[in-house]
Amino acid sequence: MHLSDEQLIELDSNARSHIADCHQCQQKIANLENLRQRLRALPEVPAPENGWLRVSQAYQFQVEQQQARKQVSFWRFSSFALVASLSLVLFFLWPSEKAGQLDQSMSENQLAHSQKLKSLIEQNDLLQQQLNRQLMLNHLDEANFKRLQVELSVVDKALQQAYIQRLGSDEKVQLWQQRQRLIEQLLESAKRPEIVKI
Amino acid sequence: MTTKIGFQQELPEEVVEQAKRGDMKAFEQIYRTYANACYSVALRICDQTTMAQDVMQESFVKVMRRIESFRGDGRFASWLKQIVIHETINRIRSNNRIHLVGEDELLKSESKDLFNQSWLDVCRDLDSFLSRLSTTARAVLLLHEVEGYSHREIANLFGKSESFSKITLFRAYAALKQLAEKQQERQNALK
Repeated sequence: MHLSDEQLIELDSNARSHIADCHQCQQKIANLENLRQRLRALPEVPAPENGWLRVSQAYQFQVEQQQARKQVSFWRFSSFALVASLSLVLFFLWPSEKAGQLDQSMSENQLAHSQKLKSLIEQNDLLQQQLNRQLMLNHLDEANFKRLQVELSVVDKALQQAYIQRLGSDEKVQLWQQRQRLIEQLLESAKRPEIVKI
Repeated sequence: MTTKIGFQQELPEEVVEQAKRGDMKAFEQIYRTYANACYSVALRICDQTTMAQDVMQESFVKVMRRIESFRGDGRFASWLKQIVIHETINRIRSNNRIHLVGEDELLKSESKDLFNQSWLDVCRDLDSFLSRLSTTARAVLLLHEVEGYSHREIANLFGKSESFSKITLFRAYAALKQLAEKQQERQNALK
């Protein structure tokens, strides 16, 4: 009984001892080795000319992306911290707005301002949640994001100060509106991500 | 004296050490030494120039990012080749270009006396024959017969059983033989 094709492809010790005495199987092994030699002798294919440029650019891009991700995670942390501290300020220094218990002695104008402020805070809160989701997904445009995050942190600090110093509603409304616009711009840039192809 | 080519080429140890320190010139030297070998392996397996270029780019970027993990206990070229092959197979797998072979098919594929003659002698352009194999058959054939991978290693690469590798290799040879016989018939008809 001669060796099967499978046995010829992967010789074990039994197959080797069979081959030693079988001329027909020796011939088959020689044919198989000839095939293998042809496959191993296939010539090299030259790599594309600009290969190193592509590789070095792709490497640089990945390194920059990694650095940007580190910055984003740092900013994400500081953003959460700012929002948390802002909430604490609102809770302790402005209980009437927090609970919606508006002072009855307020004038209609003050009442309208308070309601506007409350609505702005709620909208900002919703937008902040959307932004956090986009941050988790890394769907934000890097260049826009870096610029806007700096502006946003400035507004957040100004808002904190506005509540600590008990500034008037007008200033607070302006700051909340400014904050809302910045987050909207950030989210807008997330909707049109820049595709980088190297 | 024979000139070494492809992955047989050796790099001076200091080049790898310089690359570990982030020296881009050293990385470029590594690239220029092995670019053709890497590209050839990737292209022969996937048979797509764009995919082979992407594989090569991604493989070298991985080498640059992970070179610190290369301890030097094996050949650098072997480590690099392993990365290229893994990257190629992963691309093929993610493109769903793997032909799945059932476990019981090995039993069905009876011996066809594939090696009774040196039928490949008729083939002038082996690459054109290889191009006509399925991606899986070509990959297994080259990995087993050229790169020296065992069936177990191929099975692990593809996330399949050893039977998958054995039957695929068998089929690759059967398909090559069929192609060679057809070419022989055409050549005979022209005479």
